[in-house]
Amino acid sequence: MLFPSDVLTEEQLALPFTVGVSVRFYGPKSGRLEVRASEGIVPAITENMLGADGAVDPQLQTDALGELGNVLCGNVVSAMTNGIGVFHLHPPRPMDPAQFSELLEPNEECVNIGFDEGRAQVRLFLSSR
Amino acid sequence: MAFNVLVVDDSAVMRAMVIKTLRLSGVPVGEVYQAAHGEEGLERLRDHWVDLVLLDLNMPQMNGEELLAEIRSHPDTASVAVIVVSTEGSEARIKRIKDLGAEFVHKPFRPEELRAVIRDLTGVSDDTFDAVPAVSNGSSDF
Repeated sequence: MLFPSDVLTEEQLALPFTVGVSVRFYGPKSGRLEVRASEGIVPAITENMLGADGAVDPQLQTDALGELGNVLCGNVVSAMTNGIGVFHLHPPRPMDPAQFSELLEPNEECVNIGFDEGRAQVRLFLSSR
Repeated sequence: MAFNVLVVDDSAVMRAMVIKTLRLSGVPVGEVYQAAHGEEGLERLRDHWVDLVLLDLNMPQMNGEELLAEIRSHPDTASVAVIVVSTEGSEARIKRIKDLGAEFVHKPFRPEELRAVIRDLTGVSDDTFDAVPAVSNGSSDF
């Protein structure tokens, strides 16, 4: 079981992100939603999603993170327009951790979530077009 | 009776979660078939007797809406119970799905929600469902 918190310790905030997934969307608004996580988070999430005890195949972990990004993105974009208009979501794409930056782009917001296992971050970028 | 179920989703994790939630819901489940996209879903439907289809919308190689239209266009599958399981929030798109005779369950969902939709869609009463939902906490939500 994962216990999330929106109050993160300094130790949690210092943990580097080791995996991430990006979901691009277009429709009434366009942009992308990213989910990033430090080491240990995704295996725990995957075990939780599958109800598994113990190690889960790495491919399933990638799949689980992608599906999490997809579900978050689908719900966020719908909430932005109260169900008006049709959004199209691209398949989730794994991100290269080497490209991660703590800096936010203009038109980008993020939330941090702390867990016993580490931290995760969800970023929403809206295109200005 | 037990439902033979087809789960169509491009995510293996989501297919596993739908099947897990279905079993937790107390709905009697017979054979469970899986497909990763719409075309594969049609193959499963051609090869097996299926009572209930749970399908995602956003998939490669024939999305869920296209698969639903195909299911309804063939006499052998036109009356199969279909539930779309998706994050979709567009009222227009959900209406199109319901106009094709399918029900809609929004991700994330609970076993109780799935059970209620299956009960309403199939007309099978609660009495014929084998078990009371075994979920009493939030650990199986999705």
